[in-house]
Amino acid sequence: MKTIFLILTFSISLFTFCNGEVEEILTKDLKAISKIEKRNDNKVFKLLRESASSLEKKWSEDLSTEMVRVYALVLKKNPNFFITELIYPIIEAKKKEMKALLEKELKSSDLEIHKENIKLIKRRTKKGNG
Amino acid sequence: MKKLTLLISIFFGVQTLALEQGISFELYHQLSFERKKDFHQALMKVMERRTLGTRFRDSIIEERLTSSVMKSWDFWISTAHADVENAEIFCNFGGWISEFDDEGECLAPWSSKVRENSVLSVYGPVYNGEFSCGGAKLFRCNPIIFGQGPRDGDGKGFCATADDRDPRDSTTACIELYEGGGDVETHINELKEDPEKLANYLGIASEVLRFCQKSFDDFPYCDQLTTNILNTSGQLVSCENRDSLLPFMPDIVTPFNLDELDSIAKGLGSKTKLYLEELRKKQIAAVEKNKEVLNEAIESYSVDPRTSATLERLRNNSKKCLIDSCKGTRHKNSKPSSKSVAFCARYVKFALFPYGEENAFGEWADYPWSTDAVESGAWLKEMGFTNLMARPEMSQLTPENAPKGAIIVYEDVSTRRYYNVDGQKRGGPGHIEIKGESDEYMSDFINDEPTRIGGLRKPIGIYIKIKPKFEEAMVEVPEL
Repeated sequence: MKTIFLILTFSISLFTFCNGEVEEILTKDLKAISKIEKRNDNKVFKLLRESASSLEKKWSEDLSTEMVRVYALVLKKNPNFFITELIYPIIEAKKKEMKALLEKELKSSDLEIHKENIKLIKRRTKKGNG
Repeated sequence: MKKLTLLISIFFGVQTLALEQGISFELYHQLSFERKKDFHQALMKVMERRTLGTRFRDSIIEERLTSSVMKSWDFWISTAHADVENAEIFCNFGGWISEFDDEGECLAPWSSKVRENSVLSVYGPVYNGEFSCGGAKLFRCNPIIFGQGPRDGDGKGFCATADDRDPRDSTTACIELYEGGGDVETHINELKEDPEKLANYLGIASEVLRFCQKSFDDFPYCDQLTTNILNTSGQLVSCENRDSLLPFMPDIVTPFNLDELDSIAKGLGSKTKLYLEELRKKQIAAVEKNKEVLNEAIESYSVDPRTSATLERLRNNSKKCLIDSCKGTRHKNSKPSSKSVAFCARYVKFALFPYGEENAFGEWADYPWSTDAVESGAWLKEMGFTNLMARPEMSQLTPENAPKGAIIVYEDVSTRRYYNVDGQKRGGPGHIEIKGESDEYMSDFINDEPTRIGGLRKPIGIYIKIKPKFEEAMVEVPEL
């Protein structure tokens, strides 16, 4: 019994440690971004996707704040719906927390664009086209 | 409780092992001394097994162990189905190629493990329900090795009364039936008339020789089986019919049975090797030729007035709100050309099937309604477009280096909406765009790069229209 308990505790802490490490790396990478140079920066896009995915697994104040800050910078440069699509899974999964963060970080004009993008994503998901 | 502890330990042990197996050879030098020793011992076991399982002469073994082995090894790996698995010795159970279990026993050919082994399928039909003799203690001898059986039988081979789990009993019974009542002459004639079946026979025969050389003492039937096979093989292959066998051999010949095939089939193993080398040269030449033709076809497509007109229409439309495309946005009749309204398929189709305009690839009457971007390949093919991504000559093609006018189709990577595209499950609705200038990817908006969106979209097709004269100039690429 003692052995099982030890093994389970070890594996749970190993998982938490690994996820914590990912979260730390993502936060650090996001913090390093202060300016968006290109309309299409696939590295930044990927970082936003991975952050949203990590937050879906484990919510983190630090990571979510950084992710929304960078999202705001990207949206300013490229206001298209697919930019919002990058973080859409976590917007859906943590509605309340994400709403508060987005309202805090986005200017009102950008918030309007964000809301319009959400509508486009929903219509696209439901009705298709591309 | 102890069992549960053991199970959990095994679970973690297997995970660790899987991680270790994933290690590449490049990382070999980073292994600890103990791990290097384990690796070396495992390698020695494989080498020993391979040496035992071949009839290569010492000089050939020596040759293959020197630097030249890499070239020939690479060649075989890339051309035939040969891989490390083929170094395995397969046993023979009643004429059927089979595999050993962990205890070194030859598995029954009707067992699911053997039937589902795709490597064995190159040796002809597998022992499935079709070959059942319809009762216990009845075993179907492989008709490729022992012929189609008695004249008044079902033509699927002899049914031997034997323990169908015992390779010795079953194989001995098959040999007795073949020697006692088999129509050897008919069997030989049948094999001679069907090169594919004959190739299967020779494949099995060469594996029997390898197996029997290694396991002669454990499987007493080896003596008679080998004699029968050598006698029959000698009558099957002549200089006249040897060439007709070559197209069927690439699946059968491997670096491990080459010598056996040479000895039983008048140098057929070496001849096949040469045939494969020739075929590979022909394949390379055909690919090069087609590449040249395709490059010409691409150039011609890019300067086609219809391509230019399509791009111009798309460029103009990207500033407009086509039909109700801008509904739900701040835009009414016009929009910035950099703004997407999530109607890429509509905009691309409007450019390709314009209403009342000339210089177009399609007509308005043929407009493909109700199709999403990811499904575009179907109507593009109907219009006569070719997917360059599906051509082996164009393996280096990407949306980034695609030619002017190329139509690029993407699937969605993270989605819950799925489509059947050419029999494959694809995420949708996807995206479609046409490449204009080098930094111009146009659909319902103009992007300065291919719309990959950090991996959210994945290209599945790059289409252009190839004129018939180029299609005709292309040559068939021989398959290996």
